[in-house]
Amino acid sequence: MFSYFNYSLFKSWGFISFVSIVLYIIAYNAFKYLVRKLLKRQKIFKLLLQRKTIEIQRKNETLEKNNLIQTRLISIISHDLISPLKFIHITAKTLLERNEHMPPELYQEMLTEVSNSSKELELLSTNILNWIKYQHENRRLEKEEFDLHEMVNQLFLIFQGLARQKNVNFVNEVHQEVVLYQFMEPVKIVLYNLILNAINFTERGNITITGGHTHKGILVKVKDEGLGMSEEQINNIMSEHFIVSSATVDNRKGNGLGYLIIKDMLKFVDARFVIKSIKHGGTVVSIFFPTFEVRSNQLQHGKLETAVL
Amino acid sequence: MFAHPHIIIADDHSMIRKGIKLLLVTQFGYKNIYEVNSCNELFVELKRTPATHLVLDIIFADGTAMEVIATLRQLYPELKIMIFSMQLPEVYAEVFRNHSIHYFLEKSTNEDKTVSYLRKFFSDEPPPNRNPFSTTSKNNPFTLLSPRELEILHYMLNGHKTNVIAQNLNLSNSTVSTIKRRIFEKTDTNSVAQVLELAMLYNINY
Repeated sequence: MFSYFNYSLFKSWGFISFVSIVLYIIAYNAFKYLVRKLLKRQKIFKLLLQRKTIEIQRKNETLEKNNLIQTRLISIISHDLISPLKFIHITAKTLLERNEHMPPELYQEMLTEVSNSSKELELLSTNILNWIKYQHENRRLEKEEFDLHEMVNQLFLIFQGLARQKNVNFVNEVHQEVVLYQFMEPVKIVLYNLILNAINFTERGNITITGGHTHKGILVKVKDEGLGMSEEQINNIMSEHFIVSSATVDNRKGNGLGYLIIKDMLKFVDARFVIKSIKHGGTVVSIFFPTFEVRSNQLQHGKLETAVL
Repeated sequence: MFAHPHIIIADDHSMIRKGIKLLLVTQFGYKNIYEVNSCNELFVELKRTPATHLVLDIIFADGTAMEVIATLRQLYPELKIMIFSMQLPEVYAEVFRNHSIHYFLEKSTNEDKTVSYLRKFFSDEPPPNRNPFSTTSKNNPFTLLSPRELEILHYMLNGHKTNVIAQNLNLSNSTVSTIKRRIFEKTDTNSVAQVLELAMLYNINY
């Protein structure tokens, strides 16, 4: 047996080397294939990892930003809520105690201040609440249809008292038939803040809200004839790193918290906005709710039959 | 006591100005009381009326009292000034003591004490000694900051970048950076976010 093997091995040397070369090639290719597969998998993992890292970074940034805003809100609550409240109390108490000896003009002056300040504090508290309410991820909100003209009317009612004091007129020029299919509360909060800003920075004149269809969506404009903003102020508002400054300082610096909330809410409803302003010539804020994006959103949720825009 | 002091109340909240005004009218019978809501208006008003007394907040929309106090002292050396602020005296009083302003009242003080403090201020009596065993924290790291550092701190907490602070305060970028670094060192922090958190903990308003 041994000799036969030996002999045949010797005899078919060429065959053997052929076989070993073939085997070598097969082994080499198999190895190459495996390595390539591994590399490919590694690449996929790397990409996944990269994507995850970016995701985490983004989440971190949002968290950090929210943290910053939260600290800011605490400062606003102590500076712009608590001490004015304290002085409302002191003033009202003094008015009660010293009623008889007080000149009527002073009495009037103080009551007016108490009335204005408490209204301002109510609006500020509402806004702080608005911001906190929408900070949670688990927003189980659903879009719904609503009448934009009617919503603007309701909002104007909230500010009627303030407007009358300042000789400001409200004009609702939203087309009657405009029905928005959107998250209702966030849209309302945006308009609330825009009207509040407009009032705060307008001494007299009209505040006009227009709204209507364009071929790609719905365009809403809030126009005032107030102080206006400089380009620097607008850029500051539009910048990603915008931080709120103090909230209600004699209605002059009032836009900080407001615009922060407006930007947050508009991101939420997928709308875009533009500010146009002339210093001392008024401000126009245009908001565009695109129809197309809303539809594709509805498609994803299998709700195409309710698309009304 | 001044027979007819001319008083300016400088505060950015109209409710607080009116409240103080009402106290001054009803408790002391003073009549000449003027209100301003910014540093700018303060100087305009001072030019217009010969004020004898100033009740001054620290933080305004257009700057802080720390920035204007030197000019104020120089232009109106006779003016009597009382600081009336949310800020803690153990952190901020020294800034104003350096300009020989010795009256510093916290806004959180209760009504009776506020009235008696105001009475001392207007009748030129020395301010009452501060209770050394007050309820405020002894470990407040912000007490370590110098006047300049407190000035910069305000803008830092408001999220302003170094170059903007430099522009606002007429300083060079490198000076502002150095001061910022010292603030980080003294408060044992590494970032503005950390300083913000610390400011919240230790009741520094901005």
